[in-house]
Amino acid sequence: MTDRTANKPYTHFEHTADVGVTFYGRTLEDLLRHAAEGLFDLVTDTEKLRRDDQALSQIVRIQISEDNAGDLLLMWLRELLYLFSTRKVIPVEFLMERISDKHIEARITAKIFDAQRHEQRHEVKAVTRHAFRVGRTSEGWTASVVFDV
Amino acid sequence: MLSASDARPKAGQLQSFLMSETPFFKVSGVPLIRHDAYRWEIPITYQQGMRVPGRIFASESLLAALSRDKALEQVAHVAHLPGIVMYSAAMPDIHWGYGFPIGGVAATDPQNGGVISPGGIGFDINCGVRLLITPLSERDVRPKLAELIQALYQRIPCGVGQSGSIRLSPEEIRRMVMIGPRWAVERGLGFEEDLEFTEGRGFMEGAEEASVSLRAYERGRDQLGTLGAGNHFLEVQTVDRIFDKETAGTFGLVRDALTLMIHSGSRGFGYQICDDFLELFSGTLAKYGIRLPDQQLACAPVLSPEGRLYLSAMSCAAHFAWCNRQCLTALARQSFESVFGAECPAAKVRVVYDVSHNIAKFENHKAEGELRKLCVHRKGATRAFPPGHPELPLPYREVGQPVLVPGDMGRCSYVLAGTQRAMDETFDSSCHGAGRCMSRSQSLRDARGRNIGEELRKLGIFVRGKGNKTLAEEQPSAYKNISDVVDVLHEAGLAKKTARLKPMGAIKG
Repeated sequence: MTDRTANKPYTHFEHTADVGVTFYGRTLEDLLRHAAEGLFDLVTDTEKLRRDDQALSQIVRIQISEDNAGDLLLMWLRELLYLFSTRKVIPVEFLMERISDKHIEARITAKIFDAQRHEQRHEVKAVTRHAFRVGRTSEGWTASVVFDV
Repeated sequence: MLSASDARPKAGQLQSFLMSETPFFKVSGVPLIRHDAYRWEIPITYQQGMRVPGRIFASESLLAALSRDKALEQVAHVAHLPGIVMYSAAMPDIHWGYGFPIGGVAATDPQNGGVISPGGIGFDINCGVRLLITPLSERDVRPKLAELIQALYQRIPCGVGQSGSIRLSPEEIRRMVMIGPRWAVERGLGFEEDLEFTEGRGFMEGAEEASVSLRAYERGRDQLGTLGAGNHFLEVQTVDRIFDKETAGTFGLVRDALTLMIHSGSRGFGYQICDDFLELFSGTLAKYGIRLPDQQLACAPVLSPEGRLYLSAMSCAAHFAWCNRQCLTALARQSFESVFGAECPAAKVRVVYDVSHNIAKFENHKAEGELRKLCVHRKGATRAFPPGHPELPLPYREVGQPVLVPGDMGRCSYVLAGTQRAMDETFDSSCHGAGRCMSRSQSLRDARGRNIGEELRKLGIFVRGKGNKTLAEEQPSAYKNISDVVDVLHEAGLAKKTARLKPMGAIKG
């Protein structure tokens, strides 16, 4: 089996009206980071934003506890989407301070999205549970998420 | 294409199976019985747990377009909802959604354990369409079209992460979600008459500001008077064909008149409410003994504390959406006035109607032989009251409700009128648009190397959008032909074609 975790941390799958993304990661930490990157890659060109020295930066702390890794991933994405919707912050660097299947504490460096200057792609309305799955593979972790756009 | 199924259902499972002439089909693995050219049934025996059959209103060619997705499977899933009556219905623009199909209609009976399901309303609660008519004609506007589109684009925030110019204090947003578009009218952002021509006068009983989470208020705080992105739009159109002169005349639609169509909803406020309650209801399914084939159908009994709480919050989001379309109307009126001056004052830009196509409403319908108050979920479906309905504005009462059906950016949109047959067969519902036939990634691949904006310009349609990607994803061929969709409704007697609107220009997020 090809190692998709190293070069291709996420791939899109077909969904008629919305956008489906499958994420890969060697570890749960990788999976969460790739999922965040995949989410915001739908919103803007995150590479350009990362390199934009004029964009303001902000430190964001996130702490989530859930019953299992699936819910942890879902709530992680929802928390990030909420922070974007209300504060226009897009994560560019992650420091996972504590992580397990049920708990995460992260310190995130985020940049402020400016609708006048940064590329606009999709307005992600929600992280849905439709066709949602998280699992372990021989290569680590994988998850599929449909975003309502 | 459809294929006649080899696997005939077992005899005796459903009356219609016993009719030797009944044709059986399978689309995307789902068995279908054809009742007539536009009515198809998914038998109740298809899945264990279905409480009613599925009923799809579509032509053979529209059904065939569903062979690659799971929309029909979702129609069957909806039939599992407790308290659902008659059937799980789907309109001709049905396509794959999450939980419910988009284009789905389901009515539940609260007195018989009927549930409310946020997935049957959607994330964008009270997403809907408003049609305005101006005193201008195509001839007046064509020379100033670019200027008009630019004026609209400058005034109306659209796209990702855009804030509106209307800032609401915590007290004001709470008052606004209790009274809806009246809030805007009280602030000079519209006229009393605008409310009369809004579905339900833009008001729903039961809104309770305390039922809404702080997060929803935070997400909605700066989004009033913003269009959004994706398939939301504001389109300048002309009436290019009249099918029914009397009804069109009653709606104020005459040939060559210039109209403006607005498609938007409750923005982040509604998305967050849907999210909050899907999570809450996922956790209470066991409490109410509800088993579902898809977690996105999470629901609670209408009469339960959780069900009532969602309905209160949903009503707040419905108010937000109507108020948003009212504020967008005010901005559009200002734009017309800035370009055409005394030729097009705000007071002469009249609301034809405002419909909601993502909502649940309590309505009286005849179901299983008796008149009952049902909770009608419309997810990508438009209410279509027949002539004589007491809830219609007086000027429209003799001809029925205007049903606003937008098409794609390049072809056309329609105004239809509600019929008695829709009252009898679809819980007074009609379709809401063309429905996608290509996924977003397919559309992007299809548009590679093309300039969609330029292609539209060659057709005389001037579009301003935030990104080429949006235009590529929303290109006309990504959607079914709207004329095929409305023809099904017209031929099936579920709505009456009244007028056709041709696009001249649009702004998109």
